[in-house]
Amino acid sequence: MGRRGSFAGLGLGLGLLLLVVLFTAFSLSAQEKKPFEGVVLNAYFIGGGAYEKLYTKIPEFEQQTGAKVNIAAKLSHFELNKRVAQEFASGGDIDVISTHTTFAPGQKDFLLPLNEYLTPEDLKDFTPSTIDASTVNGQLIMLPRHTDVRIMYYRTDLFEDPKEKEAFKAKYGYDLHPPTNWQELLDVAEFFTRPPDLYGFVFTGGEEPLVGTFYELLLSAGGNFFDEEGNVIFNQEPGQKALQLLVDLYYNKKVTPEGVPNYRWDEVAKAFRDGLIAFYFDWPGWYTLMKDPKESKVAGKFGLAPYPVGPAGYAKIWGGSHGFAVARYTKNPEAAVALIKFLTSGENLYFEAREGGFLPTSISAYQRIKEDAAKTGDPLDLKRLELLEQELAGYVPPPKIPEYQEIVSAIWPELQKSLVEGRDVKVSLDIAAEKVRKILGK
Amino acid sequence: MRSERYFPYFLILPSIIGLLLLIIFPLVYSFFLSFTSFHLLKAHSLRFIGLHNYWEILHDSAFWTALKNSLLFMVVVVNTELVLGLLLALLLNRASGGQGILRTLFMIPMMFPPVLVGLQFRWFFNDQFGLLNNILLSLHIIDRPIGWLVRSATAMPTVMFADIWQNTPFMTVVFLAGLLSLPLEPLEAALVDGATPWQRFRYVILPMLRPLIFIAMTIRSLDAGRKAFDLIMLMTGGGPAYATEILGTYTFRKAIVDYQFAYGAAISFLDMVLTVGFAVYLYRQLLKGRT
Amino acid sequence: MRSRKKREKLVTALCTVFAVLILFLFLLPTYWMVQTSFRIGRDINTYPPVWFPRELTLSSYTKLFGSLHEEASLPFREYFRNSLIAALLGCFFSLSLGTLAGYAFSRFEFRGKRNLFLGVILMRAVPGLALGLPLLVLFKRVQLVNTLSGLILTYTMLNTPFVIWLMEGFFADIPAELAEAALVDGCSRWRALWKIDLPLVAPGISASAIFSFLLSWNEFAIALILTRTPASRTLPVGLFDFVGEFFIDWGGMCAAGTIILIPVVVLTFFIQRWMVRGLTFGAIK
Repeated sequence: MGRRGSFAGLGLGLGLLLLVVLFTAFSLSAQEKKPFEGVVLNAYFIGGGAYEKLYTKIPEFEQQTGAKVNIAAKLSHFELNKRVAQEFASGGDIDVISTHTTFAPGQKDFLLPLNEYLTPEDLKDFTPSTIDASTVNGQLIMLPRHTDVRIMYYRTDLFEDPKEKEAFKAKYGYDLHPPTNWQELLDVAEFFTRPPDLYGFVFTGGEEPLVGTFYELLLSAGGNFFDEEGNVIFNQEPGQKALQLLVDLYYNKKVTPEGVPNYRWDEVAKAFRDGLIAFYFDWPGWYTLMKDPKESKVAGKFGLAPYPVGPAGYAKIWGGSHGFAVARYTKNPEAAVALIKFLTSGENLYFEAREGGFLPTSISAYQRIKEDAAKTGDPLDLKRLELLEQELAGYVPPPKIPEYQEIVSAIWPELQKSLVEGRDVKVSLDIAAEKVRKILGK
Repeated sequence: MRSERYFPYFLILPSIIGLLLLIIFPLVYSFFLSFTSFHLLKAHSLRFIGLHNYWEILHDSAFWTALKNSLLFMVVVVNTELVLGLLLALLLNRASGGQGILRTLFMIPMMFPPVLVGLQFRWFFNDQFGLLNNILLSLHIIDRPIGWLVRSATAMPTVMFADIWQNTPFMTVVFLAGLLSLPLEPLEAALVDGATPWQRFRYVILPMLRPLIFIAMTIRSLDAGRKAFDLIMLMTGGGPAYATEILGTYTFRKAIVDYQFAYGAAISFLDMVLTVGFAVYLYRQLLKGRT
Repeated sequence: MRSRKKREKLVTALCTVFAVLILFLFLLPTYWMVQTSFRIGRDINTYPPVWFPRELTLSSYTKLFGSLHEEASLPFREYFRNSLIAALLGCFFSLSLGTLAGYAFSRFEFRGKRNLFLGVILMRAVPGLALGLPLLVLFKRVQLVNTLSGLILTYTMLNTPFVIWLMEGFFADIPAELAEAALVDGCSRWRALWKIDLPLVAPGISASAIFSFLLSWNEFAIALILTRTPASRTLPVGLFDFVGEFFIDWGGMCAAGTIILIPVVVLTFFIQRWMVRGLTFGAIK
């Protein structure tokens, strides 16, 4: 009798103990505070198309940390930069922004240097050149997200057509292939120009996209905007050659659609998608759209190739990385930094790259993307990544000076005058150089 | 009777207070900023520099181009809309049936948000898939699409076209209201006298509409720059190479795109002076007609 | 005589042709926009143009009502609500303020009247930019940023000068004797205004109403600066969201544009009728 009773008592006691332990553990975990409970972060992000896929991961961050992310704006970078500048200037409530290696140096007065919030451990998964591009005067002002470098898209149905190849060889004396230097670029573009249904080439003929295009041609001709001492040198011979190429393409030989001065990224890609262009240079992000038969008339009919080299014997490519930064006067720096770390984690960058065709700046994500590409069965997928990888090694971001935006604004109308009215390239470049000197000398 | 004297002030007071707070005050602040070197992205740039910005503006060739374009735009657009608006009002007045529907239809362009109008026309005049080029090509009037928005010669006319498209209905409505409220006796007298429609218009209707014409012109010219801004920004961005750059777009470029807000504020002040000058001139004409 | 009749007929015919042409021109972009909103991506803005798409879809419209984090969608309902409230209230307040002031300017003589009137009118010349940033700073101080109230206040004051101008003109056009007569009979000023003058200027009021509403409904630049979240964002600003970095979602934009257009068309249709009724009223006098 006694033994049974004591066993029951023990059982009961254990059961009670278990209950108490469970209860305590439960209530403890329920009371365990999430690190950023109650914090609200205002974010100003780049919007449109594939950029927004990454943001679908934000609820996960909110769940983990207790913070709430309010996306106050989703705009194109052109609009976003203006908006963000206004917010900064009027002391608005702004915590996290989308930015870009091209724009961040101009914004640096209002961006929080991240060095003290991050360890080398945090940064080791990022491609070093992108971190370098995100650092100004030793301060890291943004975390890179994905990189944009351009490659050549060309129409395989045109370039591989035997009749075209024959006609080309007969006219120009060498085999038809995606151009490998500037002279071939002109020849091939001229050959394929049959308006109004087909043009050889297309490019962005105005504003920052024009200046960027000019920039990479300038570099490939052996020049640059400034020399080591900061003197303006883009109006010298390399610059003249670069601008002359564009003028030859648009004005002299008319191998591009006439609307080019008004074309920006959207129009250029659409022209190719509509089957109007034989070859052109564009960003990797368009790739998935280009392959979709519902959106593109050239699905399955295009290939990718590296840039042609310039007169200096090499091809330098203009590029930049998109990324995220934290506002200097944010009230929640830790939470904000946590958010951008989350968004640029290897896992999330892989997700974004997989969904949107981007080039992640995360080394681990990039590896996984390559593995995926090797498995898709479309050899073009893998070739694309290999080409991009080559280019990533040597891409050049624009000068990291705060006046860059002003300089762009000052230069492009002068370049355009040569494009649209045929004004002598030396004259245009000299005028532009003078304007830039004034801006910097101020 | 004391209350009588203050009655009008009383009626006007709420408007004045509101306008002071929300229009005058920001304006004065902007004006003050134009004498500084305020830069949106440079943290400590609010330094007083006197007339420096204005001095720079006088030496800025882009400014003078924008000024010339603003003037040209305003003159052509306002006058064209005036004539077209009057014409349409007369036509609508004559129409026998379906007045309601007709009037609503004619007024549709005016109801578009400017963003949409700008984008619509940018598409309409696009060299590759724009409707205009498609029509012209299909009719074999041209064999190569024309880049309407990118040729220096055609860029300005196309933005003018877009503006006229959007704002003629405004003039039409104003004149229609005017026509409908004209007293009938003089017209009937003219009819009895055997006047032709043209004579009736020239000697009876037109003089009676004169004050309204000036009102409409004044209102439109005050607005013109502001409305054109949205259109031009979206259609040509002020290009090619400043061909369609007006003071409004130039202000925007300097103040917001280049972050040089103080410089932009100075330009916008000169812009206002120009607009106000125009309007005051027209207002004087109106007063002359009224007395 | 007969040749004159014939000439008149010819003139009428030409006028009609001309009017139809203009109408066609006016409506072509609208028609195209509405049509585009029902097309699939591939058929939008193509060369050669697709005049009659074989496939139609409602996807542009359904995307409009998706969630915020989803690709290419907007909190459309909120934007619509905000635009509607801001435009209606802005219209109402500016009408109230403006009609009273217009009445005062037209019926009374007082010191500084000419200059004050001119000054009020000239406020329309203020460029949006000169206004935007300072307003932002001001509103921040009084917690009005990103609120509907702030927007309503701004729109009211943007519209009031124009209403004052219009109403002054309309009041000036109706004879003051009618009201004077009522005053002599013992009516108070307010009653005279309400019962006699206001009905006579009904066309002026409806014209002011249309323009006020329109300006607020379509206003873009200032709303862009003063609003941030769906709490106060309006439709025109929302439209702009469709223009992404590389890619303009024409289908979505046209769908949004079509929806934006409808209330205004409906409003105009009804108000312009009222305008006629008010006018015949006036003519009978």
